[in-house]
Amino acid sequence: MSRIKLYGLNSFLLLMTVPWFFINTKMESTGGFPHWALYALFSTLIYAISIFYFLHRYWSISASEKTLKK
Amino acid sequence: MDTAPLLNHGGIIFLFLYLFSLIGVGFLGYYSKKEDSLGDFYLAGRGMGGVVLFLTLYATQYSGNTMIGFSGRAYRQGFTALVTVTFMCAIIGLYFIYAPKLHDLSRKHSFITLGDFIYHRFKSIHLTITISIISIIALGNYILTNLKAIGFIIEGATAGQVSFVNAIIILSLIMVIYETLGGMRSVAWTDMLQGILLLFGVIVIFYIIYKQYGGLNAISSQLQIYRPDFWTPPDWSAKRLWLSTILVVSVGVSVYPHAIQRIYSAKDSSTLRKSLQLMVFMPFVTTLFMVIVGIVGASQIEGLDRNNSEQISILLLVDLAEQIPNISWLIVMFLAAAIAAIMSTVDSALLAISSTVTQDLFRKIKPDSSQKILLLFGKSISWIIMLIAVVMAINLPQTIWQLFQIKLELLCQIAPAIFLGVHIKSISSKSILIGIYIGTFISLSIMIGNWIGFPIPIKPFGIHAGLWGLIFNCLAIFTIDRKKLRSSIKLASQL
Repeated sequence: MSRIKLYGLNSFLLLMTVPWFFINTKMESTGGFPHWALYALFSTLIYAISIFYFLHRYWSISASEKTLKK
Repeated sequence: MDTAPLLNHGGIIFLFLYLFSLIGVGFLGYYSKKEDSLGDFYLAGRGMGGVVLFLTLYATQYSGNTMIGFSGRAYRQGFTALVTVTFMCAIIGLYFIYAPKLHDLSRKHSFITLGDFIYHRFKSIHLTITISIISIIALGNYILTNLKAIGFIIEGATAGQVSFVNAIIILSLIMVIYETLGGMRSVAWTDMLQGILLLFGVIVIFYIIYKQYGGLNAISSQLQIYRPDFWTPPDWSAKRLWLSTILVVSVGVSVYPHAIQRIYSAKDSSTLRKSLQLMVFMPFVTTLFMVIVGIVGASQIEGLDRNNSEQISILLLVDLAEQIPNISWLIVMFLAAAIAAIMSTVDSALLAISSTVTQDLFRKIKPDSSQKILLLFGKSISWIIMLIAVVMAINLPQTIWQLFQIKLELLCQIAPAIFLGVHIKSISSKSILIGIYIGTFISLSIMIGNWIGFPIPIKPFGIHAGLWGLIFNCLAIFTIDRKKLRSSIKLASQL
């Protein structure tokens, strides 16, 4: 994966943590959380897992000297 | 509640024993030094192992705001306070962009401060000094607001037995003593203690409050009656504000000069990587727990105003202590954890200011100074800065206090120099410098304009002043360096 795609994906996942798609108020909840709040929490968990994976798998791409030399 | 002390004599003695033990850790740091050099003093000899690095990053990143501010915010705003969990994760996401390469560069070129990287990368003394001054102002403001917070916490907890002024003086003295004894080594080791106390404190307090009041599931029907607004999803302007909050906090915090020094201090890149991998999950056991405590508090105690809502965790603990005998130790633990969180942030900021003044300003004027002279100068600066901060925290009139709350807005403006500078060689010091000036001017104009009564909202269109500054900052950079940047981005997309 190129660096631009990697950082783009990082930004996209972060953008998706905002509960954009929830508009109407519903008094339902799961585990005590309203559904839009649960979405925000789980999408943040997915973002955190992705960052964990990026750090593990793509550390060397982010550390690469290539663009500096060019 | 207002007059009875939260801490009994035993609690006060425990707290002071803990605080003075930090000086002992300072001496340990002093006797563990390898040599009299700036690298050894400010970066612990660049040999920080995984556990120490993780705990010092953790203790530094989570300040008193975590213990007090986040639960207060949740009490007032409900589930929208979950944004705090996201921005604490996003900080690590931003480290991923620049930390791997910056760590390698710091090893290769023996950087000590952020200014070292800026000068190495841009070869501009003007830009280096500008960024150093912005960092010093932001960190100075950070120290000031935290000192004031610690004074209020201790005065409140002891019902005035330890006054606001005495609390600030005693704690500042302890911090500056252990900091100047062992530098980063002492700070990181005390951070270890403070980090463990913070994590343990948050988990225990969350568990007991959750167990006693039945958790979110049990209180949700009660909450739906008291605070039905908590169930309303944010509208479009609130969603914009949500995103703006994530960006302004994560960008600003990710370029904290003291966090950058920890990136330099890591023993190797594998240690740094593993610490960051662990750090990305810490908001789920720290920030989230405090948000839930705040929401549970909203179901139990009604009608607190902004100031009182900041004490929601303590109010719940006091309520618990009245119901369950022998649980007052929880209050001691909460206060110790909050004080630890604040101290670990203040000492790191103090060390970062001291190194910036010594390495980026004094050494540029006196390049031939020996390491001993530089160390002596750096330590003296720590004492002078702390003295100024104490005097200001005690005496500053409330009318100009707002000025000293400007931190992240300023730090956001230096972010492009790091994020773009580390990856794009073609970017020029001129564009970065102009971007910083424009961004800083716009951020400050919005904030100060609003405070002095101009018809400017503090967050125009639901976007923070610091983010407006950053947007114009980046626009300036891309306009000035557009040709070079276009070819660099094209190249980067192929790599």
